[in-house]
Amino acid sequence: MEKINNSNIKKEIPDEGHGDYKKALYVDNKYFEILKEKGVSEAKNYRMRANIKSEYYDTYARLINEGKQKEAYKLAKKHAKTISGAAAKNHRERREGKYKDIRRDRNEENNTKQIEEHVKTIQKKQEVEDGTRHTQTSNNNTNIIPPGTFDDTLDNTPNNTPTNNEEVGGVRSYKDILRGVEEMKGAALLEYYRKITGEKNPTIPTGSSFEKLTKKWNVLKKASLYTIMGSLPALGVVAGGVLTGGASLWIHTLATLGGSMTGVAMSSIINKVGSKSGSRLHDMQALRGLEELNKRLNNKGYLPKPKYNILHQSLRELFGHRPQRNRRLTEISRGDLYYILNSGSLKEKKLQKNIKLVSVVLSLLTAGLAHQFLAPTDTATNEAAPAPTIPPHSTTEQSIKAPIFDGKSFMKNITDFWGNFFTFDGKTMPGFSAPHVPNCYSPKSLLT
Amino acid sequence: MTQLNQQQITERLSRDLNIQHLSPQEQKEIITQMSTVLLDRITIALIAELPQTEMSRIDMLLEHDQTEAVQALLAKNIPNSNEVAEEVINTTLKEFEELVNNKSLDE
Repeated sequence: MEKINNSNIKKEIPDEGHGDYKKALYVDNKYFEILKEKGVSEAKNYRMRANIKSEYYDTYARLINEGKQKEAYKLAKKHAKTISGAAAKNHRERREGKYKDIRRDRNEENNTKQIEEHVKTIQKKQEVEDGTRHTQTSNNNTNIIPPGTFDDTLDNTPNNTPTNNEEVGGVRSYKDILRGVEEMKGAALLEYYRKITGEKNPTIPTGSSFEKLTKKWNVLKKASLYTIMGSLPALGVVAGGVLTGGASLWIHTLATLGGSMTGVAMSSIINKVGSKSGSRLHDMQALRGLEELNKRLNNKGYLPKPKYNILHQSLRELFGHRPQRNRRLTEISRGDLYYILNSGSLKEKKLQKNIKLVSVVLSLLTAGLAHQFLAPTDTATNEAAPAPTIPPHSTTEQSIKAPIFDGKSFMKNITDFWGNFFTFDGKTMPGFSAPHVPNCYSPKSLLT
Repeated sequence: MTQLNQQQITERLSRDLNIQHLSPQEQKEIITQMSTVLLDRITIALIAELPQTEMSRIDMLLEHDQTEAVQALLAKNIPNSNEVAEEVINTTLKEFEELVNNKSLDE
């Protein structure tokens, strides 16, 4: 038998900080490992010394090393830790092979599913290759987007009519489609180069010049994306509105998939929120709006202290908790929005607070974004857009300028500003429009 | 309230593209590729609207990574950029529709 010492025993049990249950599970697992490798005697021996209370480690190790095994076992038995009921049950069930059965069942179920899916895929591919019409029509898809959640009347994308396919013939396989798309990509870079050089048949440069060209092309693409996003009225959605049609949906997708609007950080936030909050698009839009707002308020990514304090106080008063100091606006809002938008089951009182907070966030968003995205931009100077002019009725401006934050008047102003957007009783939410804000989209659509 | 999640967007776009017969991964790949095609084409369409004189200015700005200034220049010169973008999107999607539904690529 190998020599036992205090440190050996410590190594054989999990770190401090694990609960009894986890420790017991660990010991169980180890017990089975030893049982498999060295036999029952060693395994029992292990469990005995692993379960011994830590203050008896030294004594136990000494007795074993002196060859007094019986005494050591007695000691271990006398001072063994109590295995929790759950762990004991787990141990018993495991010994009886319950988990093995569960695992086996689960594997079999997964395998069956995989096989079924695989067969389906093969059948589909076969159908496609045989030129069989794929008859999944729009009728099947009506379930995908719940009625009323998407305004189809505004969708002017011409190919949003799958029924036309029936007149046309079979659909292509993935390989063919991908090849076709590759061909569609064409020579955009060459086109661009043609345009900047003014030559009809320019030769694309190579080496570092090519890299430079590619870099410029990518910056141009980003700028063009910003441009179309800024000019599309539907992109009022940045502040949490509605996607109106195929084109704007595509532009949104460009921004999301390309991650080009605000870079990698935004993509990761969208992904994070998407995966955690049930992927509701308006969460993402609101978050994106907040990111933009934050960026515009302060290029460093942090709000200036006075503005931060106002927001901080507003959140504290309205939301009932105090955000940590120095947290980014986006971080506060991310957490809070996540909370708000997932608060369906909250009590009315909390919901009421949340509704109020939503209105604060929305008013901030409007003040920060309306001018950038919705109002005409003065670009005559070829400079970046000038600082936005806060609308005269904007409560945000009033709040920001106010030396001392007054929660009540702040809320009153918001009520004045947003009209009947929220009734603050947490029950009814009639429509809203803000005709006094030039070019302001109507968040009425938010509620439809 | 509009509640479209990523999954729904993908489904919606897949329906637009009529690629629902493909696996989710394949659909995603096609959508991503199409996004690239669209953005390329939109960008080309936008700069096609620009006078040649502005191109040299843009080139200079691009050289210095002045995205916002380029954006401002585009917005100034192309006030109807949204229409340009929509037209490109519609035309490209039509082209894609033909690709998926009709003509064999091998023909």
